[in-house]
Amino acid sequence: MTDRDQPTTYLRYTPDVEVEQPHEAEDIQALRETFAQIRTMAFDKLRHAVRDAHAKSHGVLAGTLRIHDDLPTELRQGLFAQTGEHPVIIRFSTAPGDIVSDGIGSAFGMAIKVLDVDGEKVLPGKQQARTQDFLLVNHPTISSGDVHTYRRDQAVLLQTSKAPEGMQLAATTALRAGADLLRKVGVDKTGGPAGQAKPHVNLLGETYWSQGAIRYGDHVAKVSAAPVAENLTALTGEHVSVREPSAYRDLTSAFFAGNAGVWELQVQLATELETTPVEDASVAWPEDVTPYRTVATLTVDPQDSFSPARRVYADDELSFNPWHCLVEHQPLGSIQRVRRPVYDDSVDFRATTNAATVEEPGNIDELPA
Amino acid sequence: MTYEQPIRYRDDLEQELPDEEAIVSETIALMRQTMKQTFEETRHGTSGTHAKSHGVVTGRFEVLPDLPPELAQGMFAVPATYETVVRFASEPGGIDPDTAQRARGAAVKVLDVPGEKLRDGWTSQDFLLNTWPIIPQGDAKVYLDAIRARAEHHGHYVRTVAATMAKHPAPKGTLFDRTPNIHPLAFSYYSQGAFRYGDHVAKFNIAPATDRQRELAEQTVPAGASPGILSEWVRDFFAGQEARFEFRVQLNVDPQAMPIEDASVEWDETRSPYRTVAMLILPAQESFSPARRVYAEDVMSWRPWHGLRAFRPLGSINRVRRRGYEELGRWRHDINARTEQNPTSLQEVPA
Repeated sequence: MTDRDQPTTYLRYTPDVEVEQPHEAEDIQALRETFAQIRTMAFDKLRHAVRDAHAKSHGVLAGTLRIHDDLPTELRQGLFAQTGEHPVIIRFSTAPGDIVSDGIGSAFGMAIKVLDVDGEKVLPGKQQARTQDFLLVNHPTISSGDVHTYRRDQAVLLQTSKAPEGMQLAATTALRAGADLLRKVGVDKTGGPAGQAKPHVNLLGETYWSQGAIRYGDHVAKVSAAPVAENLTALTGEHVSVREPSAYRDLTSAFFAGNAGVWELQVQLATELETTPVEDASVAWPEDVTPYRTVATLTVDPQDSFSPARRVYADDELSFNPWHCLVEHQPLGSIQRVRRPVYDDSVDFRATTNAATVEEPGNIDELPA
Repeated sequence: MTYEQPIRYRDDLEQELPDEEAIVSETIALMRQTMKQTFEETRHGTSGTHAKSHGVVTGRFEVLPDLPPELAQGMFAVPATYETVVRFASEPGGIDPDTAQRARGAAVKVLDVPGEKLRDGWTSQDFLLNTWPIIPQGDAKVYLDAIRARAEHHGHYVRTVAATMAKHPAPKGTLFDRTPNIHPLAFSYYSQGAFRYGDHVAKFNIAPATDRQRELAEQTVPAGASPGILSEWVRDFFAGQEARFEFRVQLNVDPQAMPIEDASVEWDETRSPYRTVAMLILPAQESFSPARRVYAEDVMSWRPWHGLRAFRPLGSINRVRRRGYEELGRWRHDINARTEQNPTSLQEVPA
């Protein structure tokens, strides 16, 4: 990739790239209440508190993020201003705030926690965490691109999640079949706010995106992680049969038992708010104008990605939060702003209910083998 | 009142089943399989039975003075006051909504009891009690059929019951599913199986000892109640008052009419009534704090074989529980990356 074809000017970050949405506070409050209901429902069913989104883990990995040297100025920002290596913790998950069978279609999540990150963080605290999180999903945009739409869609999701699991399974199977037909005639409707109509594909071949924007130092960006190692790209789009309730966990464990993984961490810089909007995360930023460009390489060695100790640590004692970040990488847009109180609520509930301590890791050794 | 002469305990009161070791092994393997399936549904390791807590309370276990010689056995030989932790739960190994009729359980752990234990290092005397005086599957072989049905029809309660009934069409087969859905503190709870009782043989129970608890038997869980209503009820009760249970023993007076190897046979209370030997006093307290619930479910264990040699569990249904509770408990602690710990004093039990 060369910079020759790139626009010479990128959107400069200023606080006014964000615009408070009409009735934003009210929508945020409503969403907090919806998520509180999701948490309570899940606890009543499981008798264990889980995340109100991305509750189910498929694998938890230790890895290394190597920030590339000789990045151009516009990419040499924030975390990426300094070349070097950071330990990371990666957690693969599915979207629902409940433990449901993998047969129920859903978006996948890839959460990356970068450790040993110095610099001022957004979240206040006596002792600032040395972490920078990226929460990525296997679709470049989120259909509920602002807090108001998100409020509407989450209310619908809450109702469907009250249906018996068998019905949810049947409904998403039908959705998936319908979407498959449409895809055959060239129409891609991923269908449903949580990606229920996505086909059952191997989560390890997927590319993951931040969907929402973040500050990127002097600029504004979206972030993605794309598999680059051949053993992973070979899995891209591979349809998998989901017969077991934890089929995705099983294939993740099987893969990393013997394989290493390599992804590239990429950023897409905003150019101007018209075509690369910050307040509507449902809009895909045109890649022909501003492509995703690699800033770092993420590698993991073969390992046990689901040992009991590691699973318990990741599920019960760890939190991934877009607001665990450097000031230079503050999440932007209402879809990100709503996550700040909601993630706090979720962590508080999980910690209190499970009588567990949820803390940012001081170093990678805190991740059990 | 005069009582029939209790039988004397002898080792040969127990009769091992043919292939008993294999039956026990298969039972444990099937239960572990079911526990794994439940784990995939909850992503948290729960007990193979009695998975769902309704309340965990601490209190006193007071052995009565002046018991007659046949009752003054084991830890009941001398009056004493012990600390105790009691967990109220539902029988199945999954988390069902409380609106479902299920047998309930009360597990009583009496702490730091002196006397020779069934294993060196154990310190408590546990009593695991259920809302029914019998277990419909009265020996390890019949129990295995029920466990097989649970494993085959995991997650389908009606099919599980139907499969159990097809094998053993006794009306007892659906007993657990006809449990009145009342307040957990209003039930009497029974040991179901038989135990050595020092020189004799007995079954145990606890019975509500306050009017307030007995009145609660009138009220059933309404349709549409919240899935965790029972823990709310128990919590509300203990917010304002104490609960008391009489701890009672029923001595075996006739090994033919009161079989030891078949726990599906109810021992005739007119021939041998339950007689009170201790009071279980549970003061007002928070019964469902997160820290206490997690400690009880994930850290502690209640096991019929945690106890005195003088109270050795008897009969194949109890023998299956020896290895069963130990091996399945270990699986639960391992999957949750927890170390099993049991308190020797209430100071170790979170508030």
